[in-house]
Amino acid sequence: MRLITGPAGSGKTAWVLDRFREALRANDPAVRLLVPTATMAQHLGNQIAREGFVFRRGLIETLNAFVETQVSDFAPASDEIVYLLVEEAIARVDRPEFRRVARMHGFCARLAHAILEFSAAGCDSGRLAACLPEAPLAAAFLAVYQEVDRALDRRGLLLRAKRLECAAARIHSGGIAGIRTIWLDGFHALPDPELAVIRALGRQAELTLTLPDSPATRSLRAHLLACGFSEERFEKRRGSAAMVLVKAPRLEREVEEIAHRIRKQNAAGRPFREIGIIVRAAETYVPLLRAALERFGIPARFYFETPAAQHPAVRFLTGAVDAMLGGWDHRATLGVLRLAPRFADSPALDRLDFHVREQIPNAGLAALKALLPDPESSFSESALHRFLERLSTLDEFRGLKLTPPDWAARLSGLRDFYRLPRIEDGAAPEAALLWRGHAEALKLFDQTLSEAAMALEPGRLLRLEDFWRAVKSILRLKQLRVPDGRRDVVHVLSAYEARQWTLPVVFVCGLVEGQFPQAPRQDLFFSDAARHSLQQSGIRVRTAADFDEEERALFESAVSRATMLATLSYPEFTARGERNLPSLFLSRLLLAEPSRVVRPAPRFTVAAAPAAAIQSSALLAEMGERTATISVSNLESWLQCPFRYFAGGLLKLKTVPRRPEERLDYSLQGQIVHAVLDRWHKQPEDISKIFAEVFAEVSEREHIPAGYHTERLRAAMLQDLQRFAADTQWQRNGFTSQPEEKFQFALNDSLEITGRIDRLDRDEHDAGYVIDYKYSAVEQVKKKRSGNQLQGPLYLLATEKHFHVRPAGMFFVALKGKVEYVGWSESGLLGSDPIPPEWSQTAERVAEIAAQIRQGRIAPMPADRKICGYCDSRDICRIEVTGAPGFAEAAGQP
Amino acid sequence: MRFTADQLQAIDTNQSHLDACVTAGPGSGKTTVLVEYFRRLVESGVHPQRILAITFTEKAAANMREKLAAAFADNDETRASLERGWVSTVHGFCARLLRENAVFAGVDPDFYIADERESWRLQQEAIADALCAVFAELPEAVRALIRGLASREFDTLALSAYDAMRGAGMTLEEVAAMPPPPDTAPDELAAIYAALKADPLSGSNPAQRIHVRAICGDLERILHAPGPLEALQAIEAYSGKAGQVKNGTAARQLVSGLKDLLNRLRYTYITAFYCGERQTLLEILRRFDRLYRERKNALGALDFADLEEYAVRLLEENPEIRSAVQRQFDHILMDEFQDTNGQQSRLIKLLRCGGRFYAVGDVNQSIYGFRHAEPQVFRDYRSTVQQGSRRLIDLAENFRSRADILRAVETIAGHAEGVEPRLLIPGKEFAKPRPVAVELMGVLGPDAESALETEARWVARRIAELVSADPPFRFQDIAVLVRNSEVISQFAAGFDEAGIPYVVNRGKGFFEAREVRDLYHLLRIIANPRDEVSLAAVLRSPLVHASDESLLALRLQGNLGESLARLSARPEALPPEEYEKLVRFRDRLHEWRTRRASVSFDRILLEAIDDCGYRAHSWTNIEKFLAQARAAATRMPVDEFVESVSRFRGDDIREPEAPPEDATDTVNIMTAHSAKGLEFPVVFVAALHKGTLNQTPTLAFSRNYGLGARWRNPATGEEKNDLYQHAIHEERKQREREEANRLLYVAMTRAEEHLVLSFSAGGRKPENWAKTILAQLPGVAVETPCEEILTLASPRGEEWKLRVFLTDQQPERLPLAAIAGTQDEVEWLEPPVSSEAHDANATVTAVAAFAACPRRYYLAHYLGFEGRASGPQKSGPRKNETRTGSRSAGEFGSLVHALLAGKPLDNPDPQAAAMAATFQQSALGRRLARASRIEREFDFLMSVEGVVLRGQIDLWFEEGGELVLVDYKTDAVSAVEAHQRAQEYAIQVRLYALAVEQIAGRPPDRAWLHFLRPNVLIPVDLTPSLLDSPEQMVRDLREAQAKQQFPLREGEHCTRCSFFRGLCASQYKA
Ligand code: SF4
Repeated sequence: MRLITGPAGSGKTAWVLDRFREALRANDPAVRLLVPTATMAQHLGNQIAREGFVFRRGLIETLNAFVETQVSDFAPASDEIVYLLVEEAIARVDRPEFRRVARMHGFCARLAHAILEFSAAGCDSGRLAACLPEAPLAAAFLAVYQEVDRALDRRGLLLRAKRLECAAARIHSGGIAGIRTIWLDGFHALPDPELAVIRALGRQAELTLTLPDSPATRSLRAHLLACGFSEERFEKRRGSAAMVLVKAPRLEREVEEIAHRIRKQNAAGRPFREIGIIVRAAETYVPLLRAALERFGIPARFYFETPAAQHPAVRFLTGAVDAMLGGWDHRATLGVLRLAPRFADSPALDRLDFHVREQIPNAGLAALKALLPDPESSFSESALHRFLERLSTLDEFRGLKLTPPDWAARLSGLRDFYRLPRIEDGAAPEAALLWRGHAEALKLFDQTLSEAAMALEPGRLLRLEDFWRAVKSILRLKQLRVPDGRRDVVHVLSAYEARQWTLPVVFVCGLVEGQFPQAPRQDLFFSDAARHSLQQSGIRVRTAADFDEEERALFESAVSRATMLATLSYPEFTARGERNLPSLFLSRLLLAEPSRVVRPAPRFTVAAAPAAAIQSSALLAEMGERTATISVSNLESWLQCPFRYFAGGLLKLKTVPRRPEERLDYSLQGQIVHAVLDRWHKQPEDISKIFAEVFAEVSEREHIPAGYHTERLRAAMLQDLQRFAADTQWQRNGFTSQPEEKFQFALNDSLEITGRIDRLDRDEHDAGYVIDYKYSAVEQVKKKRSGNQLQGPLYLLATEKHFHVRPAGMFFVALKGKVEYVGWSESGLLGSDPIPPEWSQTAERVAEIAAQIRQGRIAPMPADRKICGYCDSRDICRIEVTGAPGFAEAAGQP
Repeated sequence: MRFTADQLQAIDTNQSHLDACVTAGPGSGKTTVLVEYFRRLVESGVHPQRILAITFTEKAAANMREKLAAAFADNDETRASLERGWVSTVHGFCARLLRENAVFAGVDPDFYIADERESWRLQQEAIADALCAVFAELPEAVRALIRGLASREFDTLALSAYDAMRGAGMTLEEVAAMPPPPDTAPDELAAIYAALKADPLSGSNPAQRIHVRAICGDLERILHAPGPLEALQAIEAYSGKAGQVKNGTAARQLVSGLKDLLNRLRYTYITAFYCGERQTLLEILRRFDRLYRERKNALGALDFADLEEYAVRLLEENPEIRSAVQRQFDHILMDEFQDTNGQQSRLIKLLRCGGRFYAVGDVNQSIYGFRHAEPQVFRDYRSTVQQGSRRLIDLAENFRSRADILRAVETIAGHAEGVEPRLLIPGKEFAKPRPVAVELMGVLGPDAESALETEARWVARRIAELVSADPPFRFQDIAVLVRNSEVISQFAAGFDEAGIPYVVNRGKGFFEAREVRDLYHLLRIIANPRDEVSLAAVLRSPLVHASDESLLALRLQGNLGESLARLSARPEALPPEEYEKLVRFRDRLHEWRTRRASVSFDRILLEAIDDCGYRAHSWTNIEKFLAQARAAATRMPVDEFVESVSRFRGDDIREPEAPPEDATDTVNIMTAHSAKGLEFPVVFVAALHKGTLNQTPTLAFSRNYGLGARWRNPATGEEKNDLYQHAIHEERKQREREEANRLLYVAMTRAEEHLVLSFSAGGRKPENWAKTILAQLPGVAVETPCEEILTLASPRGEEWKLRVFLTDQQPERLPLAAIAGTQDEVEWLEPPVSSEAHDANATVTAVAAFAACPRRYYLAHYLGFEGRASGPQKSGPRKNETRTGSRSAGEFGSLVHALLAGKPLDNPDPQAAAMAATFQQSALGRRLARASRIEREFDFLMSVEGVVLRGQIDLWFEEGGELVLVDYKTDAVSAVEAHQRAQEYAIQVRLYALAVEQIAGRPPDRAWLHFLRPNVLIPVDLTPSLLDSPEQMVRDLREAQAKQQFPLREGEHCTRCSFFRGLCASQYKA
């Protein structure tokens, strides 16, 4: 057994490949090149094939694949299955130490992880029991581990390490037919079970193992030498690549800078495939890099996985079952429908979405279907209808009791619900990745079902809920890797993966404290001291010092992956503006270059929109027609701000239906109060009773949920109404009242005015007083008196022109909190102001406003900036409420 | 570095075994001292990981870590230990402690810290559910609570009280058990009543006597009221008037105090009257607490208060862990000790043990009472140290501000209530003297609003002067600090008008920022384009730049979204460019919607931004929103995300804006609170007249009194506090007065070179800080405009100069020199020319599949679909699947191949064995037995046209000088069909032949396809035309991949294809 050691760039791999080539040339099939990862196997295979060799693929393979051929008759326990068994075992052994955390996913995952770590180090529960170190949780951990081992036994499953040990034993006893020479390249760590295999192989064939120099491999080297390897040292041959350090203000700018530099390299003739990006803090960087590389048109392959549970196909499938189990809660079901690819842009679903929102909370597929207006009205409507019909077939699962394998078989039909639309030709290659992602996710879903079936007791009859819980636990851990076979791509690699690579140009990003090097994750069960003592017993589990060494080794390996140029980078500040500390790995001598601001050139240039105004004659004509009749409130709205009128009054733009708790809003409260008063005036009786009736009707119609908030508002409204009913300021018996009257009258030849008067009271002289209820507080109502009034004079005009009564006064009645009459009258009734003389000009004023509207004057121009704060159109008109720069430009003024 | 004597004392490690209390005034080099002390400790042999240093903010921690890293720059080992060290905020420390001891702490070891937005959302949901649950169970009790409580907005109030309670480190049960504050009113009343009753009233006239008797009657009714309601009614009925009691008598004295006493008594009876409602309220809080915790648990989330609470619980419940943690640290350094809250001080107590606590703070800079900071903790510690170790250090020297500024601070705020009189000794040397470093600017106007507007203009004008002066200041040297953020918009408007660049630092209008709104509305229409308001907002935004005419034209045809989707011909009213914009956007919207579930939404937003080269006021805001979207995309669909944002906007939750780019030369506008810890060459403390509204909320909490509430007095309907609330109110009033003074102190001490104090007065006397300041400057008459320089004396008798400028005029605008272009220049990159987009590898089977039908290849091999995913079948065996016994065709085929490869199988399927025998007994099989070289299951790699092919040849052998290649087929076909199929398999066999040629050095002489079921042997022509050559096939495949064009090849085979009528659009009809 030969061990070749040497630093990065000393030609270890090159030496192995040369030997391999020699064997190929000599047509010697009795060789094997074993590597740690499938990517490396593929990469080396391709490299040799491109040189013109044709050879058996199996000559280069991973150690795992090699071992697999030896033990294919033992069923492996995947990590996910182990997790499920751990969950079960924790519950079964029920240790008091773990009781508080037993049901927490993170805890179970940590425990499973620790068991896997021990097992990988060749330490099963029996071995651990023999040398259990002092640690407060050690005994409890061991109990769970033992239970897991028992469960594995019961199911006939083996952990990976156990399988390796079996393989070693078989190789030892049975040999490896037809293999004389073995090279092992690319390994950095070899836990005991792997070592056992290698030792067994070494006895059967001529074996050479390469090992890079690094602090992290120091003890492994010693171990190997002790096992009988003879060492051969290679010295460094390749010159070091140039190195630059770049700092960018923030993460986003850092990845943009990387993209920028890649583009420059590519423009200078370097193929993308010769460039790599090495990432240590994947969660932070991978999403950003994906976005940035895509934005800048850089094809890239990410050697990373994403949580399967996040994939829409998985979300859809799990969502559908969850929704069914939850009785088809409408909100949840809507969420599922939204994930069905065929309805991603379906107008029918968009409409249904609004209908659903108007009436949630609600449940049941039948109720949902009833919301679809007419299944036959359009293609998309009927497709949706059919889909809901199909979903309802899931209800058959309810109440069934099946064995886990039967459930797995049943549920595998679920994927048929996830129907993708047909794929058009000519899309971007990235689109193919998305499609492939769907295909992978669906496969993975089926795989999950069978794993769940494997982990559960095979013969037990279960309800769907119980089987489903296991499926979801597994899915939570499953990772999805979408294959990407493109040749000319930038490689985005983890620091671990990168150890197998060399590339001309390499970027290493995120060199800040806490990210690279990362902080060791404290083990919950065995402290560092305990781990040291385990090591002393020969169990090679990792200590903090090992971790630190590995981080250092990862860094050194990352920067030595480049043969020409290594670019290191870090962001100076966090997203919150706090300064990052550059990684302590960064040489103090390296001076950081600043980054530049880059953006992809716009795909198209858009001319700014013309000033806010309607000028097209066709549209003006249309506006003229639509404004032949204008309501009083629209006129007031225009006066407040022409754009507000345009968006709200003319276009009547609608937004998403309100959430249940928002439904009883000011406007609806006002409507209720008005309706109650209307009835009360028509048929005076106990106002509380009327209120109760009206409130019940409105609640039903508008789906107002019962509850504290509704109760609170209901109580307030009732109190206000009772107060009004008891109020005696207005001598009602001196008047005849005409409640809730609509009116319409011609202001001139081309303009009709419409509106609604809450109450018209006539005194014994037939003088008319308009009463307008405002369900707002007195201070609010008082403001009406000073404003640019149109409502008052127009109502008085209506009194005369529509109701043919002599107008004598107009009052707003504030109802909230206190009753107060605010208004104008000839007689100064209730302290009102005299009717302003300029009210006589109202007709002319209104005609002028109408003319302006019809000329297309709609630019945002609030009479008072305060109204913008609560105007529904404030996001459309683009006015700045806080007074930031560029008000005029933004508002679309010329 | 030179240290002052005080500083030297502070960093003296010889005394490091003693508890120390360092009072560090503003600008006293506190961080330097802390870092230096840390450094010296390490140099004296303390391991860096045995020092726990706690700062108040993340920023301070980062700053300290950076300085320590620099201090140990050339000691890699120490630096490495520092990186694993314990320099962090309290929250950072707690989080680490909990993670390391998760099992004992009872938290999920993988917990994440819910940010304020998320906790807010969870709290909202929990309180809504709690209210509903309690209402459903106890409707009458809840109705009574609604009637009784003086505010109906219960939820917000409850949440803020809950928050305060946790900050103080108290549990709900502790709070519930707190008795009302001591209340002597009833006894006092009884005493007065007794005294009056007993008073002979000598000297009083009859009317006076009658009156006193009446009073006694009233009091008796109160005292003997059967219940609190009657008592409250009796109090309202009290009719006594001190004026009607004889002057100078004891009775008169007793009666004159009664009004006040009766008012206090109202608190007593309100408390009694509402004790049931109080229980309901506590029940709601309990329910909320439970639900909120459950929600967090389900998510594995902890909020900031949990971090502290659980850390305290961990240490309290586990003595071994506590002593291990205590043993872990030799020294605990604590910065800003005056800002700790009750819970934190409890934590610190648990961590401390015997003389190694080093606290730094300054009570004068305690301004976080609203965040439940308790400066008393610092004071108590200081006196303990004074009596114990006596290691008290006072850093009075100020290395920040000019002497005149410090004197101004001493004069104005140095003796104010809540500020401990301490020296501020100038310690910094300035290169040039500044004749006047402090200004007072006052604007007099007709009303408050216009005066403030004018003040903003004057501040702008003064800034313009300062940046044009010689030597000039830069904009970024200047900060405008205000107490109430409401006025910020006025100053912003004033600066806009004057052309002064500014940023509202840590402004809270993130969701209102225009760029954020644009992107938010885009997401909303991606969720549902029927949302017309959002669609209109996007159409009018620079993302589309559509005109209002477009809006109108679309809306005239129906729902805006539907009209846009339907837009098929240009409406007459719209010009072609406009139509083009709309169509382009519509198509993009469609694309985004179809991809919205598969790609994270930040990427869609970036596409929209990049499409048009969107320009934003604040790019960092965009980044912040993208980051939020990115984080959300992993947890929720876009619909839910926009809903959560819209809740935020709806409830007006103020989210801070992203910090601006560092490089920009802009004036900083910020609140005085957020300026803590910062310093600027020039500071304007502006709008001094504007205070903050600090009413005690209807529901309030205090550590000393518990939970108080304001209720409706059932006798009058007026609002009235209960006893708890009354005490809390008094306590808060006092605290706020003191804190306001300290805040002024903090604001003024931010200035290094120049300090401008500015206020406006709109026809009223100056209020708030303006009043505090003017009270200390008796020489300034605020009524009349003036401009003068006063020489004033500080309390210590040192002179300082103040420029006083009072005006009722508008300033003239000062033209500003062009602002230097500090903003980064953007480089726009064109997309790269497309590269070789084909795959590196392919399988031979895939190439053959491609040759047969590119579309099928694409779906099955390139994308990896298993046809049935989209097939119309129900679950169960697939329609197109052939099965042999219990095995699928694929499984059966593998079995036969394995047998033919000579692999040992335990229980070979008899059918498979029979099929294998078919070959073995065939003529080829017999030749094989004689072969000189045999290769079975030959899996090879071979490069063809730059693509590395993978394939597996079933068999090739050499016999009688002939090279023969064989491929077995187990397809369920008849003999006739086999001949048709053979065409499809030919390309595969030719590729195998190519591989054999390269290995064997010559091409095979013959190649056979052996269909085993019908037992048909079909020869394959190995000399095809150029067009059919395997190389050409691989080239075609490469090209198809590069162009992503995979046309259908429709034919009879479609009916056998699992994609037929599914993912494939084939219309083939037999
Ligand atoms: S926000 Fe203001 S400017 Fe915009 S439409 Fe509304 S009222 Fe007009």
